[in-house]
Amino acid sequence: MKREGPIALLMISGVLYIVSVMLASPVMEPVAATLDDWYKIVVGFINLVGIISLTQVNGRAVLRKSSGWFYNALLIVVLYGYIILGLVGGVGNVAFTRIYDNILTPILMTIFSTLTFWIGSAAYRAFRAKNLDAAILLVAGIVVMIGRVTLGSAISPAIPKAAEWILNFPTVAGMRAIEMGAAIGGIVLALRMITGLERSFMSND
Amino acid sequence: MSNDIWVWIGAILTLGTYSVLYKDNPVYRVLEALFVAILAGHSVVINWFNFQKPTIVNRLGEGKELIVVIPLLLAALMYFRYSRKFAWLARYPMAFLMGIGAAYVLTKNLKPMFLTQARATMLPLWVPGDFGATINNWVVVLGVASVLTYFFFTVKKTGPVHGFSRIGRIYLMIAFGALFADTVLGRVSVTLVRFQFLLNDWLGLGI
Repeated sequence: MKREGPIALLMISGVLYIVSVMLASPVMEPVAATLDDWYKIVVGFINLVGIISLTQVNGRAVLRKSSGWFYNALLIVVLYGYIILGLVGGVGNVAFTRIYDNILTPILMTIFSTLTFWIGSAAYRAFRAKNLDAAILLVAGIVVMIGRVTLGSAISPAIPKAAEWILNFPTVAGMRAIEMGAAIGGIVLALRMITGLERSFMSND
Repeated sequence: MSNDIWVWIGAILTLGTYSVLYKDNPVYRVLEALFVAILAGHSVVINWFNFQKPTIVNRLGEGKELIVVIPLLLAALMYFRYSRKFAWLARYPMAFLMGIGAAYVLTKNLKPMFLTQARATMLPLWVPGDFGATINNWVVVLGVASVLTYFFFTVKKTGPVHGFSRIGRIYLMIAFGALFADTVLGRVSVTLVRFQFLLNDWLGLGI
């Protein structure tokens, strides 16, 4: 029951879903809709597992008085304070939305923007034209970067056109092939899971 | 300078977050803790009002849809992962999610991710009277075919196949260069918005 039960459930739920979608008959269609519904309900509860893990990790650091435990304690206090505020006052609660809009959003936007500075140093390493591949990467990157700001059209009207062409044709071709390859990989993995060959999700327990 | 307390708070938070560019410091670590806590807390509240409450209170309580008990019990098994003795019970909800996820990939993802992409690549290699379109179609068809060859690892690539896969590698370099540049520009735009907030909304310099 410890290994066979979950694999049987995986196979039955997967095959039932496929059959109900493929047949698309009035009898089977509600089955797919019900399974979809159940999926959403189960996924909704995963969230709480993350909160329990977050509490465990930070709580342990506080109890052991590890270095920087104050930050862990702060995290727990704010986490549960904010959850209580939201659950008691509702999503439309002024304090709840104020904290989200005026505290979380500026931090989130700024963290996102700090990546500009890190990405600059990454660009320096990636764009060093040490070989043909790196040189092509460099040229494509520079043309797109210059072509998509006003500087590009100020230098020559051909640069924005070249940038558009690179994005619309060679880039689309490369990304399309990657997506197709990922789709094939996804299908193979899904088949392995439904046939019970892929069991790595049980290895951690 | 702004008189709005929330603009001041936003400015302090922005400068505090930027302080990590110099080095890790206590202000940044406080903001980091706030960020994680508020984001996680927000997800719990939104999840409750969007998923758990409509299911438990509305459907099971008022609607008396008893069938909802099945996924709820399945979801509850997830919390056995914290018990050493019964941790294996947590495999059941995971197995259910994986089964539906795999079936979803097989039934719904195949068309948009593979068939539509393959069909979009079936372009005419000769467009009468439009040399530019002909070249562009060749670029796309050659690119997709060569990149797929580059990712073909079943047999060792030698001779013309190796040469063709090399073209695929060049396509990938162009694509990665262009996408990297696009990402850089996106980040720079966000940085400019933060600087505009600091200079205009907070300091009122009207730049």
